[in-house]
Amino acid sequence: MKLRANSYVYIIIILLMLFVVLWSLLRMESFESKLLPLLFGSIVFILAVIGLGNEILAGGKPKTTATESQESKREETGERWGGYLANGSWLAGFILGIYLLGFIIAIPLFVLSYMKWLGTRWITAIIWSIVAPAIIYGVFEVALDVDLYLGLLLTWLGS
Amino acid sequence: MVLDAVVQALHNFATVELWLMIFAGMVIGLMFGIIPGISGMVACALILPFVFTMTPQQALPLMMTIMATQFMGGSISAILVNMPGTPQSAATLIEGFPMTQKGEAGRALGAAEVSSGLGNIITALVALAIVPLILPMVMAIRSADMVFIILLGITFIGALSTGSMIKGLISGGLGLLIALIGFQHTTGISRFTFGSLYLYDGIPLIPLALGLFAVPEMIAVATRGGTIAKTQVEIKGMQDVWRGARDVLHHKWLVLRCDIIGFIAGIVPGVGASAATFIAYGHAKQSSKHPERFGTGTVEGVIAAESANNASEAGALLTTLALGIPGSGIMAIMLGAILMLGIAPGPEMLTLHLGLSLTLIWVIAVSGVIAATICLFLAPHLSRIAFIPGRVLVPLVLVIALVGAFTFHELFNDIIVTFVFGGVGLIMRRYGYNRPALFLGYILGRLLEKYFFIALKTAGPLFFMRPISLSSIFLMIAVIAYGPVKNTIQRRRGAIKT
Repeated sequence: MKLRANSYVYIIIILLMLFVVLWSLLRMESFESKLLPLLFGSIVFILAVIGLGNEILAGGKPKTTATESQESKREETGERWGGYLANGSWLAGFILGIYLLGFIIAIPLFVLSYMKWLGTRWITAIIWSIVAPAIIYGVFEVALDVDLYLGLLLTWLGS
Repeated sequence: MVLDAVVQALHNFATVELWLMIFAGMVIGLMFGIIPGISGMVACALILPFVFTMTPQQALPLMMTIMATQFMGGSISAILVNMPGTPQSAATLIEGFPMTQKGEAGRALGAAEVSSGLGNIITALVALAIVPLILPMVMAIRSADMVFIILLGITFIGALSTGSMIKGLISGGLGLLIALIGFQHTTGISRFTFGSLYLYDGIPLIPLALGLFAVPEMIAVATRGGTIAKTQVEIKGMQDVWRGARDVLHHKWLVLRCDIIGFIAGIVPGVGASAATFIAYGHAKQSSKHPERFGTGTVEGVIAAESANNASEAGALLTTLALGIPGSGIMAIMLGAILMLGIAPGPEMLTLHLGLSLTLIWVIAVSGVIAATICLFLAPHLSRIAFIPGRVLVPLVLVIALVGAFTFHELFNDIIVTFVFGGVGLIMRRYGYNRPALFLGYILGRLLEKYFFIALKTAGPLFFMRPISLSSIFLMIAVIAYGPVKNTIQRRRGAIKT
């Protein structure tokens, strides 16, 4: 029997809820602290089991559920997992850039490179990579008095 | 008390800052409404990092204006570029774009904007009239009732929104569990923190909201690629626009009926504007003298959909203010903002902060009138916003989202949380889970626990033996049982026929 993607999500939720319930039972001492996690964890667990059961029972039938049609619609509009992963990786790279270089250096690098990767013209990408950090600095650092994260490199150089 | 609140609301309108907030909210609401793929929900999530620097009198009118005006922007893209700017403008597109193809774009826009503006005004007046009537009921609510009202709200949002009921309820349950992360107020014991000091105060609201709502939409827009809107048809002249405005007056009773549909749909948590527009559209078709013309570009269809989607906001606001249960997904974000500003959502909004609540209702009417007027004159120019390419928009919004996530606590961990919940949001979006239900569970989870233990300690284990609590429990069971019971009856009927 081949499980559909939907079923895997249910399985993940079931495992997660098992963990929540067991952790609450075994690691939480007070009745007050464990009551609601146990209650909600069990309810979500039961719901996920019912959902998985429905999915397995519908396994042999043609794809007609709302989620299936929703998913195929997303595929039709060009939303594929590969695309999610690629764009998600850009975001992860940006976060790593912030961690290492801080906002003020990472923002122009991210805006320039990501815009170019998405197919923007050089001139537009360059303009936005200058304008975006300037606006962010003006609004957050100057107007809202937020100390933007400096990153490991600038912190190390400063110390 | 009500009179004092009315005076306070009027006083709020005498300040320049309120008008500035209305103007800013209108610009943001229209812009995010016009651009297909991102809606007022994303706008409100992006606004959250700025909210904590404002007073409630500034922040809440700003968010309310965004909510009240986004649909007007959405109708412009639906009519002129054949792409609904917001999901709630999808019904407008059914008749709006065929009208454009027939050369009646101006008429469709005129009808859409005037019926939107009227929807805002009429339902705001209805909401104002209802407030004094529901005040005694709201003041009778106790902690025990709040436990079940919160659970009822999550059940409604989870079960009645589009898609699978099980997934909706799971989403709400997951939200409640996320809310329980951190130390518990009554015992001081930490839960699911795994030794992390960062998690001791729980998952922070702003990174979670940005991750859940802004990041997945941007990743989706980037994945689809290209320009979001493709083609645009020009409007011939203002005469056509006025013709559409006159159409609304000609169909005044339809406007009124659809306003009522929208208002009631807004009041019921989970139903919201999307369902309201299609119910109203169906009603317009059913009550029309020429139902066969629907689908080919009929002005009644546009009027019905636009009246209903704008009318739903006042209804949704009323439920949010009176019970602390948001009537729509975007109201859930507003509820988050209310919490951030130190106001307990629920009855307190209609008692201690009645002046502010009345101001918000008035903001719906005022911003509706101004935005409708702006859209009537500038719609062709505003529709160009829909052509901002995703490849420019996405990197900029992602930058704002991550910087915004960082600003509240100035902690790098908040950025990680945004990223993690961005992934969670993307999976939920992909597989039809209900993000507003999760967010609502998260917002109300802590309050629910607080009310639960207060009720347990003051009234004992039978704390639910109160009329409001029992009614809420009955409604909850009815909402959950309705779908399966209906399916069983239909299956049996089908079996008998065959």
